[in-house]
Amino acid sequence: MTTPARRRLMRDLKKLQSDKVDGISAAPSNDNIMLWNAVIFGPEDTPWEGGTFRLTVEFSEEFPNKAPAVKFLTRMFHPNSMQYAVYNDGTICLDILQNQWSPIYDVQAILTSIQSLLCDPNPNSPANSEAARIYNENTREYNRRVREVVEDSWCNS
Amino acid sequence: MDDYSAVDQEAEIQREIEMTSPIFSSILSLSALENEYSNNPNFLRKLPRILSLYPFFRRTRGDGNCFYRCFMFSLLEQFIKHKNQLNTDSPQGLMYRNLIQKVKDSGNWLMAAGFDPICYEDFIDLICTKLETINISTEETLSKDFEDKILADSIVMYSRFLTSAFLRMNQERFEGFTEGYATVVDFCKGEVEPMDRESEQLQVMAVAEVFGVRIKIIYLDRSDSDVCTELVFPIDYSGPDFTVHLLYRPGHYDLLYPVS
Repeated sequence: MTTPARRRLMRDLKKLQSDKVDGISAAPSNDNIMLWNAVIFGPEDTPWEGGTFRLTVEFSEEFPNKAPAVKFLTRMFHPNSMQYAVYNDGTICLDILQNQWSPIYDVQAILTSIQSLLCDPNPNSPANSEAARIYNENTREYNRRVREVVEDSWCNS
Repeated sequence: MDDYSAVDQEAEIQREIEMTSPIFSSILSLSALENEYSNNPNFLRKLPRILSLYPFFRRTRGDGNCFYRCFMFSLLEQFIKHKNQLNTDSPQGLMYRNLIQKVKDSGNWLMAAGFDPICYEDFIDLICTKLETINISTEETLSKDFEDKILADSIVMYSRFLTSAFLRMNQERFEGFTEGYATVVDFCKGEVEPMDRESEQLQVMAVAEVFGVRIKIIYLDRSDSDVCTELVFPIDYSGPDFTVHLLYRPGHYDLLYPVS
């Protein structure tokens, strides 16, 4: 059955396929256009370089009026992401996925925003307060922890 | 409280509003407000005058979209009421044909304002279809459309897109009026483009101008007077004699029905 959300997602998919953006890839899972798998590559010349971070993007029939739920599958160490595999679920704390969501964002824009968030966290709205604290207090240690998840991402992808 | 739970709490409040109040009520007698404000003399003393001008009103859900939703609903409702005059030079006919042209052209300037066609095309198609099939719509089907949350939200979203594009393309005019935001674009991203964000006077002005429709707002508030403030946008309106009438109470808009 085609619905406004599904039609819009088909168009998002076509755009992603025809207009490729460096460092981002995404596609619906095999039999479900409402559930996408995505990979974000860590930006070059940053501690995140070389990382391949897997995410799921889950849309409801209210998309694009409501934001999708985006989660990291790869273990994450970031002030704005719940750390996967410890006690919570990889949910990302990003304004445009919460109270600043608008249908003006397409899938590409969502993933590009998450990619920018990697290097440019917002420690004022922490989802992981330990990561936020280390980010503010100890750059060396923060970068070391980031490199750990980068190396982890090779094993788990 | 960290930001994360603040966001959760906002979502919770929003869910509660959705569960307890309909998107639109039926048309009600405005005298219902006399009971609502029986303990509120400064509201009460203004009601006789409003009642003499507007015997009826329609409540809408207080979810932050009330202004846009009332505006779009009123346009469609007035076209339906006058559907046998839409091909004539009546104010409704002139407004109807202006608006269809405007909606059809809106893709070009939404793109010029920097939006991606993927994000707005469906909304334009939807509004176009609603306008072009107005002759088979009735007041009942219109109410049904607005009970459908996806449809109602999409209609609201189209007006948000247009409002934002208008503000973005007239930035120099609105600089300095975007309280709490450094730039007009930041204001649009924070207050206009997301759903559920309330409208200030700036958005009201933008909607009136971008749609080319006169909006008259009656302010019912605590001020110490028998007379309500009434504002009309745009100030220099010169289009067809066609008006959307709204009641504003602090933080909320409802739809007013004038004496016919």
